Amino acid sequence: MSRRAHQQISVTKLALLLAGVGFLGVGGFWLYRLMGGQYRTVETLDPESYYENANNLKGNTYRVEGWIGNSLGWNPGKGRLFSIVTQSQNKDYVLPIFVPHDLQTINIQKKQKYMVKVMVNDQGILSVLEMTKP
Amino acid sequence: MKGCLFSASLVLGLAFSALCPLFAQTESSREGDSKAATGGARPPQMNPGFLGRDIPVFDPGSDVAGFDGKIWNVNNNRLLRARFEKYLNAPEETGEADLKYDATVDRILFLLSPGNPKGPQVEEAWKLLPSASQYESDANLCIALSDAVYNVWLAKNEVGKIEMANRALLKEKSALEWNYRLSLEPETTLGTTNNPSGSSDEKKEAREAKIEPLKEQLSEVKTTLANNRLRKEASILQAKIDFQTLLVQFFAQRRFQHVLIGTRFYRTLFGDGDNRLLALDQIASSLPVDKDAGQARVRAKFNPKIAGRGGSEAGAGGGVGYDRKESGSGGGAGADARSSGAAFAMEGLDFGVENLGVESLVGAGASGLKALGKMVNSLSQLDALANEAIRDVNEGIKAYQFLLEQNELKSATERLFETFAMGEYLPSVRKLPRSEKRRALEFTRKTNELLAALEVNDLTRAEELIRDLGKNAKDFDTSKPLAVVETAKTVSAMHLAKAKAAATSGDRSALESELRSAMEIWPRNPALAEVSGAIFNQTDLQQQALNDFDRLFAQKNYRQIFEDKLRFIAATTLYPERQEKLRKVLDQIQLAESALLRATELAKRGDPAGAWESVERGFQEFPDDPKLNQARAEFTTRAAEFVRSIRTAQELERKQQLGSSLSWYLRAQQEYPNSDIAKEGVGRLSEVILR
Repeated sequence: MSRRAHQQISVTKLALLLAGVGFLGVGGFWLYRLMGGQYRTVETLDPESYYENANNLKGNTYRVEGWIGNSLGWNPGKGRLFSIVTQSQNKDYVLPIFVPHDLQTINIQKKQKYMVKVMVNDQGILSVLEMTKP
Repeated sequence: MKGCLFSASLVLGLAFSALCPLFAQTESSREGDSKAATGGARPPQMNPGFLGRDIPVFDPGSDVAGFDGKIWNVNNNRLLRARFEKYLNAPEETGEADLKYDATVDRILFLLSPGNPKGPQVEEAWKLLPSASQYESDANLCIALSDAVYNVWLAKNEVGKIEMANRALLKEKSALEWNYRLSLEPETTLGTTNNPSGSSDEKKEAREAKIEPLKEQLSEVKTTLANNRLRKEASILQAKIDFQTLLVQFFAQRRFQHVLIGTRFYRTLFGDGDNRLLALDQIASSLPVDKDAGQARVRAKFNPKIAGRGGSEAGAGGGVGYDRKESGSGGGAGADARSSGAAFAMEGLDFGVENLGVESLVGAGASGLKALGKMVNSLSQLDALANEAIRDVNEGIKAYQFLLEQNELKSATERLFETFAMGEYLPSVRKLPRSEKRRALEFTRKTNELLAALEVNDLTRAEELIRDLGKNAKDFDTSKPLAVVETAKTVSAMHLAKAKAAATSGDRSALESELRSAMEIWPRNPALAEVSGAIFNQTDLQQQALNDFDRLFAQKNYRQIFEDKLRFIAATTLYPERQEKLRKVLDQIQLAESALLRATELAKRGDPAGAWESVERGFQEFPDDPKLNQARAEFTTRAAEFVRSIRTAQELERKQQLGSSLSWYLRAQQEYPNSDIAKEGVGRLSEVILR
């Protein structure tokens, strides 16, 4: 009798199960993305505040997501400086980010979208701690 | 004496004018500052000459004498000119009285003439003399002649009286001689027995007592006779000399008709055939000659030492000295002229007048009169000279009238002057119509004016006169005076041009020197006042412009400086420091203007941000420029966002908020990608960040 019962899991049920798992996965991913992905625990930078007075944000760590603009400069011993265009309240803001020498292995190109974890350094510059493509 | 002095000065002048050509090379090479500078256009008083101005020089070619910087025509001294002009202005003497006077003189001459059929009528002629002297033209000379004739007659009366006295004395002498002879005969004849007791000594004494008074009386009579003879001779001689003196005086006064009348009277009054002219010797003897004073002498010694040498130098020396010890004055001159290349040097002229004084001049005058007395030693010569002079004067008047007809005023005036100088009182001269004389007067006045104009270097007036004279006088050669005037004008213009150049270059010393030279050559040059006025006005304007520039520069009103840039460029030419300031101002304003121009163009193309940026760049250089300020304000409103980004970026950069500043620059660049200010800001801050 118990053996008959075990054989009663139908294909339909299995398909629904897999669809449910897939739905959960996609939803989770969507939710993951929605929540900030990898640095979802890090506060998103408010560009207006930065524009207003970057010195007030010194030492803070923020998450910035945007498209790489122009390379502003490069010091082989120190790092690279880029502009990144981020959006906030449907407005584009251009921000400078400093990519230290430690992250020289990352190939950064114009118009690439990055999720960046930055810290406002003692110069008021957004210094990249980590960055990844979203 | 005057004649002697004139002769001496003439000889002096001639001697120097003859010597001058010898030094032509010397003079021309040494007078670089005068003759060479003026092209010889300066009148002689401006050219000192190699002997300086201390020694008189006479130019026989032009009858011009120069001394001590002055020139004058020897025919044109004030006294002669005044007399000549008086004559030229006087009416012709053809009135009734003048005609009567001439008729009287002619009548007197006829009465005294040997050709008079009745023989010389002395008394008739003598009676006419007082009536002739009543006329003004005679100047009472006939009265003087009448008195002289009367004196001769008185002298002759005196001689007659002396002769009468002598006749009485001769009778008395005969009586005394008879008595004397009787007194010497023996006493026996007259009965000396009346005193038989007398000794021989007593007899002798008695006889001598009788003879002695007779001897004394006889001696007195003889002496008186001799004295009377001498008195007679002396009286006649004195009368002759007085008469001759009067005639010589008439001759010297050029009263030739009176000379003729006088000589005819003389011949009649002194019919002894003795026509010797004693007056000149007599006058010479009467002069107070001091034989110890010696004679004045002209000393001229020429011992040239000529040498050639190389090099380039010029020098000269001259001097005049007075030796009090030797009572003489002398002049010495040495000339050393060297030109560059082949040099030439010469010296060794010694000239002076020795023993010049009143006594020596009186002695010279006496010697001259004696010499003249030897040349003119008879009244016949005086008479002939007077006749010749009258003929010459009459001929001169005819020549004048002919030349006048030919419109040859120069020659005509010269002939009339010569004629007037010789025969001023002769009828032919006095009767010349005033209308004919006026033309000579006009010419004379103009030539005198020309001389005066040339002496004061009034070249404009001189040129006018020369042209006027050339037009009216066919024989007046205008080429030489015109050449002098034109050359002087050219030289003056050259000096003025140099003065202008000196004024432009700021060489004040050269400016003054050139202006002075131009003024010396042509003091009344109209361009002189114009140029000097322009130079001085220019100086005033320049100073005013400099003051304005300094004020505006201190106020940083560069825009106003730029607006008046032409004025300030001209004014600061001579001042390098101000010139440098002006250059910076103009460069800056030029940049501002370029910025404004570019802004205008960009604004026209719908690029207010670019326009603002262009103006902003100019504004950073010249924040006080009103034009830039105005444009900046205008474009700020038209590109407000971009301007706000840039200004915020700049403000934050100033506050060392590098991140924010850079962000604003990036934002500005995003708003206006061509922004140079944003680009520079980004680059500048990036460099700081990456340093």
